[in-house]
Amino acid sequence: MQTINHTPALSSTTADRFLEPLSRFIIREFLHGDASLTPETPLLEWGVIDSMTIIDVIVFISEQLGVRVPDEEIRPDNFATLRALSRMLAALDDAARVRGAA
Amino acid sequence: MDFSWTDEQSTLHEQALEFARARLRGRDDDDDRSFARATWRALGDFGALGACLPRAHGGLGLDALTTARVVEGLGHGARELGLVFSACAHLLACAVPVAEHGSAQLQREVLPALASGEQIGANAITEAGAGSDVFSLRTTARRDGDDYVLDGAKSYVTNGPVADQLLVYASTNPAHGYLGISAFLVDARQAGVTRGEPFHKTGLGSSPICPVYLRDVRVPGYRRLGAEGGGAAIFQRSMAWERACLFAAFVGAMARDLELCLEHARGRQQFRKPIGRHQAVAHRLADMKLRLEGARLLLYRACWRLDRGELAALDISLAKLAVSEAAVQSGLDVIRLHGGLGYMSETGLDNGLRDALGSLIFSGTSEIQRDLIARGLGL
Ligand SMILES: Cc1cc2nc3c(=O)[nH]c(=O)nc-3n(C[C@H](O)[C@H](O)[C@H](O)COP(=O)(O)OP(=O)(O)OC[C@H]3O[C@@H](n4cnc5c(N)ncnc54)[C@H](O)[C@@H]3O)c2cc1C
Repeated sequence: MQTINHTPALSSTTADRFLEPLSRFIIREFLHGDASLTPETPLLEWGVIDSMTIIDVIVFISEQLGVRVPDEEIRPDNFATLRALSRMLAALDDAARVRGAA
Repeated sequence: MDFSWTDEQSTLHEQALEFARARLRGRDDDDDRSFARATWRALGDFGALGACLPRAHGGLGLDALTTARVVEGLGHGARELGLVFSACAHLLACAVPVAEHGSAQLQREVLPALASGEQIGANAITEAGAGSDVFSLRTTARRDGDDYVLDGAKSYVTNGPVADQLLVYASTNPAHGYLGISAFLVDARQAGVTRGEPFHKTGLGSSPICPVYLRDVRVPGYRRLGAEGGGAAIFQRSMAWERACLFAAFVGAMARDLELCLEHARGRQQFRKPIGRHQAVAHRLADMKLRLEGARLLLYRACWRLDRGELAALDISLAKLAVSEAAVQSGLDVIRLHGGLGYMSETGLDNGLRDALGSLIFSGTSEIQRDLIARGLGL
C-alpha cells in the first residue's frame, strides 16, 4: 500500500480536509483508478463499502490519517458519500485535538 | 512487557478451574437431557455468565484479558466444552453487544437477568444463503411506527432451543448492503418467533442449537442496538470479543489434553519402558506444548490489545486461527497417544477432538481468518 504523505495538522482546517486523501485511497484501492468518483457519489449504493473494504478504509484512516473511528460512528449516514466521511473524520479529529489540548 | 497475571486474575482462574472440575462433567450429570439448566444457573452464580458485563447490571466488570483467563479455567476443567461454549455465546455475542450498544431501558430490562443466568441469550445472524458471506443476509426489518417488523430465517442459533433473548441481525435498507444491517434484541416469546428441531452435532454436545424462524415479528424501537445501519459494526465487535475470549476455552482444553497425555505417557509401558521414553512419543508431547503456548500467547495478546481499545482485528484473527487449528491437532494427539483407548467413545478421550472440530467453523472459518490476516498484511 502506497503511503500518502498527508499531515492533518499542516493541511487546511476545513471540514473537508480529509476529502482528497480519502478520494485518492478509494480510487486507487477499490475503483482500479476510475476517477469518476465525486464527493457526492453514493458509496453504499455503488457497493464501494462492503464488509472487507470497510476494514481497509478504517485501517487507512487510523494509520495514515491518524483518526480513530469508534464503532458507533460506523453508520450509513457517515459513510454515504466521500464528503460525509470526510466531515465525520474532521469532527472526530477536532474533538480529539480539543481533548488533547485540555 | 509483563507476562505475569495479577493476584485477582490467578484467583479467578483457579476458581474457574475448580468450578469446572466439579460441575462441568458433560451431559450425563445433569437434570435435563436437553439442556443442563441447573449447571447453567450455577455458572451464573459463579459469575461466568456476566463476567465482562458492567457491575451496575450484575456483571463482574472484568476486561477481555481477565474474562479470557476465566474462560481458559472453565475449558481446562470441563470434561466437555458444550456448556462453556453456550455460556460464551450467551455472554459475548448477545449480552456484551447489549451492554455496549443497547438503550438504557433495554439494558435495565435484560442485563441483570442475562448476567445471573435467569435468562439465556443467543445470537442469530447466519442464514441458509449467508454463512461466511454473512452480510449478504436476507432477513428484513421494516419500520412500522415506533416498531420494526422482522421477517426471515436463521439457520444455526446456538442456545436457540432454550433462548429467552435473540440478538437478530436484519437488513433495514438492502440498498446499503453492509451498512444497511441493523441489530435487534428479540424476545424469543414474541409472536411470530418459532424454533426448528435442534441439530445433533459432532461435538459440543451440551450446547443446544437449532434454526429460528421470524414471521411478522414486531419489535419495539428501543430494542434496536445502536443506530439504524450500525448492525454490521456491532456484529464485528461481538466477533472480536468472541474470537478473543471464547477461544480461551480451547486453550484450556489443550492444557487438559497435555496433562492427560503426559499422565498416560508416564504410566503406560510398552517395550519395557514408559511410552514417553520413546522419542517419537516425547516429541509429540513437546509439539503439543509448543502449540499450546504459541496459541495462548497469541490469544492473550489479542485480548490485551482489545482492552487497550486498539484496532486488534489482525491479532484476533491470528489468535482464532492458531487456537482452533492447534486444538484440532491436540485432540488428534490425545487419540494417537492413547492408542486403542483413545478411539473408544466410552473413555471420552475423543471429546477434545469432537469439540475442537467446530472451532474451525464458528466465529468465521479458518479460510476467512486467513483472508482477514492477508488483508491486514495489505494484500
Ligand atoms: C457449532 C456451531 C455453532 C454455531 N453457532 C451460531 C450462532 O450461534 N449464530 C449464528 O448466527 N451462526 C452460528 N453458527 C454458524 C457459523 O457461523 C457458520 O457455520 C460459519 O460462519 C460458516 O458458514 P457456513 O456454514 O454457511 O459455511 P460456508 O460459508 O458455506 O463455507 C463452506 C466452506 O467454504 C469456505 N469458504 C467460504 N467462503 C470462502 C472464501 N471467500 N474464501 C475461502 N473459503 C471460503 C469456508 O471456509 C468453508 O470451508 C454456528 C456454527 C457451528 C458449527
